[in-house]
Amino acid sequence: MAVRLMTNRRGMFFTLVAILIITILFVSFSPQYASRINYELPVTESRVEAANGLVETIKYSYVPQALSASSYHALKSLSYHLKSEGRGFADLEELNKTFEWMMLNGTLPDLEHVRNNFYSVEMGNVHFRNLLDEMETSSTDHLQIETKFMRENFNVALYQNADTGAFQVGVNLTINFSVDAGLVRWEDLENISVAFEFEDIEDPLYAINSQLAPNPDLNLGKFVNKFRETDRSYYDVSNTFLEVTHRTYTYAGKRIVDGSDDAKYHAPSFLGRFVQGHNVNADRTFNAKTLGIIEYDKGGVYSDCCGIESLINQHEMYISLPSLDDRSYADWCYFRNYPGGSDPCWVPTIVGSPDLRSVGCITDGTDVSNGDVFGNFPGFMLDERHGETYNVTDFFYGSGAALTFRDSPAHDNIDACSTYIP
Amino acid sequence: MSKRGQYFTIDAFIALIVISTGLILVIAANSYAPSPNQPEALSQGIVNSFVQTKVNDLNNAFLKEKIVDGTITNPHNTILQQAYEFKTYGTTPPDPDLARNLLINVTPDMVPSQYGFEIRVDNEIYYARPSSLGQDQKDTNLLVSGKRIIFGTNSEKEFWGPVVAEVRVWQ
Repeated sequence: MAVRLMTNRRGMFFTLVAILIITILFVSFSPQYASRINYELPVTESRVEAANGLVETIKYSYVPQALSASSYHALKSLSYHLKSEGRGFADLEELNKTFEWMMLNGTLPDLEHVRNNFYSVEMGNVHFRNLLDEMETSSTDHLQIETKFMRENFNVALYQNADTGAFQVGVNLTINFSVDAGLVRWEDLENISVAFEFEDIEDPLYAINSQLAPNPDLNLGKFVNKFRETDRSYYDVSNTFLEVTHRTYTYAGKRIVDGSDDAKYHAPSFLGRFVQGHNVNADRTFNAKTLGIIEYDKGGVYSDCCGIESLINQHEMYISLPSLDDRSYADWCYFRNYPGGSDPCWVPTIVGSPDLRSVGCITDGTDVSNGDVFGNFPGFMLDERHGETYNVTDFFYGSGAALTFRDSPAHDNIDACSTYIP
Repeated sequence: MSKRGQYFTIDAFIALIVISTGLILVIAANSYAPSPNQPEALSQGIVNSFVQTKVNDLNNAFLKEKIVDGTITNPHNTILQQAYEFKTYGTTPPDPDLARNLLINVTPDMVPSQYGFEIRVDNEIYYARPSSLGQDQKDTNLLVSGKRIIFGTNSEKEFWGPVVAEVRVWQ
């Protein structure tokens, strides 16, 4: 019995030792604290990924797109504003300042308290500050991530250059924001630059100058022409006819004269058309150059990179002949005069100037022998430089008010126009 | 005695193994948790790809047809932007199912049939597909949601959004 007890004791001893060893092994190889963190990492990772995705969305997508939308509608609103005022901005700096306010707040600086004017209606809720508010609300409500945009020092700058081209306008903006997902937090200062097309915005050049009084010739009411880029890749008399008909815009920056670009032939850029300096005053002797606001580069008033022009369609503007037969019908020439004979659009007051020509198949003309009327645009004339640009110098004829189709090169073949005009 | 010692040691090992196995089985049976890895990857993957992929980047006959016939006016829209614009701004001629059809066409085989999934934009269900196992979203023990914020500019140059796009996957 004693032996059995002793044996049992030994057995118990060995069993206890074995359990102790196994326990030590268990504890040694059981999951450690770090491993438990590792188990929770997917949740953390998922949260960080969501926040990181939001940061990327804000930086590369939301802010640029919101800036484009706000800027487009701000420029559209400013165009309405100029039409209403009947005058342009004093210079590009004033344009930029007013644009910044309109883009950020959806109203004009001096009409901040008036939220129900038509500028605000045009802007709706797309002013930039509101779009930032909406992103902050959306990220908090739906993603439980707190986003904050700083509301100062945006440093907004409008521009046009070779990168934007003539038919886009660029906006630079600085934005400071933070994204706080609890576990992680981002803070970022970004310079955002966007370029967008300004199609369908009303051209202030037309809207302002078509209502300038007291000159009765130009008191045409608030005539509107919207920016639309031409889809014609070359010009001849047919395409020029279509250009007049559709009132589309073409690039008119560089003008190569005697092998080099002559700045005085540059047309105004899109931004330049918002500036008063470009537009004629009532007596049409205003010279923008004397005000020192003309910039020949950086998309300024007259621009080599970004000058654009359309051809005046007098049917749309209710012009009656022969009162407006003393100017070239490229829009920026039509709406202004430089003093002095060196100006590309300068037109002598003497009717019959050799500087201007009607264009066969485009200008209205009457065949005096049988009364047939050719062409569709009474009074349409071009200066020689624009005749070369639009490749219609072969169709130049006559001068001054008393034009007849008899003078046209196409006169010998009265069906010639139908060959050219679609 | 040493033989007895070895015997008891082996006995202790066997006893511990039996006890441990029993404990593990009991604990495992009472704390079943399906793995969220696959549904999470699916929901995040779908919502990310739909937010990032542009309609003209997909080699998809349905989308190509809609681009050619002018129904899709901006081929640079992402899939979810396009679905939202179909649903919100409509088309000519009107087709209320166009957003759903678009999503049906771009999601075949993206999600294994044992998973159900649902695509929501601005809290509106755009497309839902049930699980082949018959598991309903309301009754499932595992539902994973991937969310992204979307926005855009429609053909009238009107800015819309931000709204939340959500893909729910369950098993």
